[in-house]
Amino acid sequence: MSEAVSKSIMIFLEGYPTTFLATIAFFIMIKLLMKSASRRNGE
Amino acid sequence: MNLLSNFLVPAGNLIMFAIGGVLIFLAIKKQYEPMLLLPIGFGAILTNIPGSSAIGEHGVLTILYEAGIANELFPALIFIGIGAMIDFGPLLQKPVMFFYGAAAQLGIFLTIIVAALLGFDIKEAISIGIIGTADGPTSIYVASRLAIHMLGPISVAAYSYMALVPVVQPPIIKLLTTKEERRIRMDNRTEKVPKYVRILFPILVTLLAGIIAPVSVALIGMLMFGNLIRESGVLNKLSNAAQNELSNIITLFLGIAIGSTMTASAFLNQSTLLILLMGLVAFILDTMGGILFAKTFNLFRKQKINPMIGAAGISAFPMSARVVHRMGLEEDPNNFLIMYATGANVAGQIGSVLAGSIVLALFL
Repeated sequence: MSEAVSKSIMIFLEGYPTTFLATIAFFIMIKLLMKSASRRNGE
Repeated sequence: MNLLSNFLVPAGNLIMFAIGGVLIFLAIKKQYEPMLLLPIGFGAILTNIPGSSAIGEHGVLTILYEAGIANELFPALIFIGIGAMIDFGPLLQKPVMFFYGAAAQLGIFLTIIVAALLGFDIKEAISIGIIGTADGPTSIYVASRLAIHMLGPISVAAYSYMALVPVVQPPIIKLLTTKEERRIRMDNRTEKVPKYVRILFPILVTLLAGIIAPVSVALIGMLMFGNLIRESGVLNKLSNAAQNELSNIITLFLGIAIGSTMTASAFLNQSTLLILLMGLVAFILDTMGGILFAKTFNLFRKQKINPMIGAAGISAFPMSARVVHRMGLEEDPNNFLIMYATGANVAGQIGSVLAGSIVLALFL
């Protein structure tokens, strides 16, 4: 297997899950923001 | 000097005139991304006139290229305009759409592998795969860093396929979803997004993305800066300037400067054909990734989400959301998918920049 192919597979195996992990962080962040907003509205 | 000899234009240059003409035709007649394809097409013609004074040490196009593309300035500035144009409200109301925006980046990663298998070196393969961000400025940014000699075909592929989203996506969506799935109705209740949330969002996204992949700061930072200007409510003049004047001027310079890279020797080769083909592969794989994720996600959800929305996770904004919305209406005239599809689409905008930055971070 050429170096480019092995590197590209490494980028896939590491990069795609990392993109998802980052997304989870964004998701939690928005959820917290919106929760605090609805709590403020409820007060 | 014998000016008559100027009539002897090499065949390669003549072919480039024709290619420039085709791009201008597509821009005017078919309205395929006219703001980019027309300047690129005309730039290609200017560049391929033998002895053209537009390129070279004191050539205006070369100066523009050095000033804005070689140093990655133009793509970053364009993001200020894009950020000022985007309303992240639908995503803030339906944050689950963030996952759809990430899933639809599959095409980037798989296309990098395919390009490497086809014999491109890793820098070239990454630049080709990044066409799958469905995001012109990110494609240009990465290509100008890693494979500047491929900038012309990569830009043409990125913008052409974005314009062709209404043609490329529907058959794949139909292939991967059942009629029943396409008719899944979505709950369109909305919740008000407070102003402070809209203001905090771009700041926090920049911080988070910057911590995860510092290389993303140039692009995400500019995107979110534009959005902060928009949402602040106190910079309406700047927001309008970013959305209109800044965006238009940079797009104009960007397009014609990209055209200046399309010399016959750089463009007329087998790689260009492969790049154009790989760009299509990337868009198809992105769409498949988004839909298959949506279908898998539904296995774990009580309230199912229409899997067509997964296809809107690519960053081609707002074409992809419109395609999904239209297809939903075709299946059921009372099924309005636009809010979810827009949420996924703007999530794809962030996801694509993030994925592009993560790829760069892994390579650099």
